[in-house]
Amino acid sequence: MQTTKCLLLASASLLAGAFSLQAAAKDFDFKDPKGVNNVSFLLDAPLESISGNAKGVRGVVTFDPENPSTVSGTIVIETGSLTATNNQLQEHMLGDGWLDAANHPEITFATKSLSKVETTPDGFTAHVTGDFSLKGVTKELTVPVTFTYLPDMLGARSNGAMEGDLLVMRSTFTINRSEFGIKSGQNTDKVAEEIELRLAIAGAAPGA
Amino acid sequence: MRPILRILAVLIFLGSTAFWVSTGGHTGFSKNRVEIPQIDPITQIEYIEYEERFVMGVEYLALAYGAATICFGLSFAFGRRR
Repeated sequence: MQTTKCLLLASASLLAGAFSLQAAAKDFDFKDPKGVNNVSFLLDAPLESISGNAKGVRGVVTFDPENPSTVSGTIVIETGSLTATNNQLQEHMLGDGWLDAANHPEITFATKSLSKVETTPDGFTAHVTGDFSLKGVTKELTVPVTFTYLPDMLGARSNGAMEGDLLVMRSTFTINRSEFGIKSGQNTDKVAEEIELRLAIAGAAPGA
Repeated sequence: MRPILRILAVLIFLGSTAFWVSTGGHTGFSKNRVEIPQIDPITQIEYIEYEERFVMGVEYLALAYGAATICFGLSFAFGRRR
């Protein structure tokens, strides 16, 4: 009888602990009406350097300031929002020969796990492993991410329209276009095989 | 005809160079929009705003120099006026 009572108490406290952890986690929405969130790309080939930017970023990341290593979520980039400095180049880039934006309208990264979590004065850094999908091909990638937690800063960013927290994520990593079926081994003199991606995005958790 | 072609060659050469310099002397390929870096004051995120403006690249400069060279070369096909 005594053992059953102890087990029940232990289960209840575990449940309460789990609930309090769940309650502390916040969902940060990365759809940015200010148009600041962006992913820039750079392809540096021997004959041509191609760079540009994508602002069609959205997604939700769940983050618990008390327990940052549990961060999880998905970030989506609208393929059609990729912008280059040359109209013809942009048309080719989004066309069916290259990214085929009409049939593959989204580029996504969905987190699976975190490693090498290190605390910094205003957040933490971690290696995030997740599924990266581009042009219908999904590969597991591990990328370094810097998380900056800005409590109660949503008000300053929205000119007082909303109150809440901000979470900034920054990451720079490289992918190989041939791994995603983007004209593998072709035009390498003008279009580099390696694509450097730089992500700088902020998510908001209103009313937190 | 000879002097006309040579004057045309010089005009193309000088005109294209002047236009290239006036649009920024960009050493890459032509641009239809120009990147203007910005920083969000709250998050410190660096982002790009685009200004729709044509910037002449070296491919047009090379074409213009080629045209100038052809004009100058053609001028030799016409003899001096006696």
